[in-house]
Amino acid sequence: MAEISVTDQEVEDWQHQIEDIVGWFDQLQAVDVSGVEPAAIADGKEQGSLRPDVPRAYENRDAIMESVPNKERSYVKVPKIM
Amino acid sequence: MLLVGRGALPFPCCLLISLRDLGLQRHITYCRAAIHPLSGRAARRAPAGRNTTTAAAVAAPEQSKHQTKQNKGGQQAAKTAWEAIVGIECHIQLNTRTKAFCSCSNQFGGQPNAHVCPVCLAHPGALPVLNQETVHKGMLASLALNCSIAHTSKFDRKQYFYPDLPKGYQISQYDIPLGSSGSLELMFKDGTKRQVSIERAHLEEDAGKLVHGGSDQLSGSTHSLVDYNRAGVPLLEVVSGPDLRSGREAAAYAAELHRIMSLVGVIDVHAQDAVMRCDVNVSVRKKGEEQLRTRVEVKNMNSLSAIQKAVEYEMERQVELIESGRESEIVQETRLFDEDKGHTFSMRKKEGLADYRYFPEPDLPLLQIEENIISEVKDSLPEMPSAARQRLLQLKLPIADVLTLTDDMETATYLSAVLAAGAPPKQAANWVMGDLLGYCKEHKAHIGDLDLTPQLLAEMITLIESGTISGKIGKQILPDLIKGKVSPGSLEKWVKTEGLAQISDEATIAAMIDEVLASKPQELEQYRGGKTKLQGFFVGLVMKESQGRVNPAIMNKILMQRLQATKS
Ligand SMILES: [Zn+2]
Repeated sequence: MAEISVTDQEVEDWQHQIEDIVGWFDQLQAVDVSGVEPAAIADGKEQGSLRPDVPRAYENRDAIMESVPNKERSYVKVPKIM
Repeated sequence: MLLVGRGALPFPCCLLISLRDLGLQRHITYCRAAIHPLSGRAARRAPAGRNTTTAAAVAAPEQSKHQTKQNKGGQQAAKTAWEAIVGIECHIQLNTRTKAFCSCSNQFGGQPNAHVCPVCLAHPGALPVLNQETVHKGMLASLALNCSIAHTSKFDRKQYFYPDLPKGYQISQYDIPLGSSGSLELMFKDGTKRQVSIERAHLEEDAGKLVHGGSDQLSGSTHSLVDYNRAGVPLLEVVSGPDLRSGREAAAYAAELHRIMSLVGVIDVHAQDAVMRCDVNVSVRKKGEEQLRTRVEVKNMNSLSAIQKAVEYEMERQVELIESGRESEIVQETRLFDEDKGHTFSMRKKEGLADYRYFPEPDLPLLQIEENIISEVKDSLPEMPSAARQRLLQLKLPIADVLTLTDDMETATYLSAVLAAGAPPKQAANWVMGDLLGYCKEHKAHIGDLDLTPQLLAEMITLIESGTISGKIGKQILPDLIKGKVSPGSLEKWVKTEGLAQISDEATIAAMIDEVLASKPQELEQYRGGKTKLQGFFVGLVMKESQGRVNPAIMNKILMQRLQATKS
């Protein structure tokens, strides 16, 4: 699991939100699904269209890279691994 | 710690998605996500690029020199009583133009992070769309490996945290792979064959590339650098059954896989970086034993010699531990192979089965492929190496030649065209293997790119066979033919205009011989006196006189007649 920095205020706010979500799952779990085929994907019946293999450079690449908090040359800089 | 699992699989996963949408993506991706005990990606990535699997690296594997350096006792044991049980997982980088799920270019080298977009960097709300060419190439490769193609397959999220994986999961295929139940046939120098089962072939995306991470990092450095150009590049993971029995077989399998992938055109054979990364699972057993022992995984090798040596080393190590009563020291773990030192070393122990919390990728629909599309791709497949080997063997070519000719299927294809143009097999094979491959090696050229077309080579061989030109003249004019000096269909006319046609007319040859003998009365006298080895001297003179154009058989016959006539 990720180590995520949160403030005490965030912990307090999110605790309720997460409890709500968990509660919602409890409601879902209560549904009787016996005899229903497991669906691989929610949208199972729909065949999505495939994308043609044509390269297209993303026009806002510079903006994306600018939003990276730490960089070195054009690399993304992350904490040392292992 | 924010996330509290509640048993049911989808729960923590869904929560993860909602956290992404809450805007925590940056934290997960770039900052504190660093370490997950399951991943071990640094070690996996660190060696990438140091060794490359190029076409050149994929020659027929030789018996490893490394073996001789091993402890003799263990070696003996390994050879006589023990065998390895080896299965291989290979990650094959498909040479599509764009990444698997976004339109970014599938190209590395150059500027780091040049080919990135919100999809491959996992920005909130960005959705993947599957590249049709990824599917097509995945099918080509799977069908070439005799796999069945799933009419309906799906993508799943394989979850682990590591900075080279922006989304926090890899899109892969878990329980319904694109291809399954295939096979591949190996052939060895002694003519024996081995069928290797292919358990599955599934599509997935690659991760980014960590630079200055892992063991080669300068001590004291506090950061790693990531290049996401490779993130999202399509891979086909091919998993073999545990059917290989030695390092040599493991390397032969990887070579055959590379050969087939090159043949069907799904990998970039000119790539600088490795296009195939292999993990081998190795355990040992006594020949005849059924029971399987603990297996060890050696990860991330990209050369045939590394695969062969790693298996041989592991086999050695495990046999020695067992025979010295220390079998308990063989534990389920992931090891890496140090190519310089020629040994494997432990990277991490496995604590139970790695839990990647797979679940179906909700952002991608099911992948459905109609039967007629599958048949179409199947029909487009070229002749596979195993079939080519079989066909060439039936032409009575020796096994060693057949293996050389099918090592690179471009050569086999060229030879087939020479044969189709009417050249006899043995002669065609000799010209292709000797002069042409020699030329290609020397000039770093591809046989298929030569101006000397298979038709023209067949013409030349036919002219030699019919006695129109000598084999010697053939060798002499070959460079001109390679340079494209003669167009196909006009070679016979050309050799005649150039005065290169062989002289087979007996009267002409006899006249030349008489002239030579007349010019060397002294040597002729010596020959008469019993110095019969002077025959070679006269042959050389006649050859020189005719600029190599006389038919050697006729010339020898007449020369002998003349020499013996003068003697008697
Ligand atoms: Zn992208």
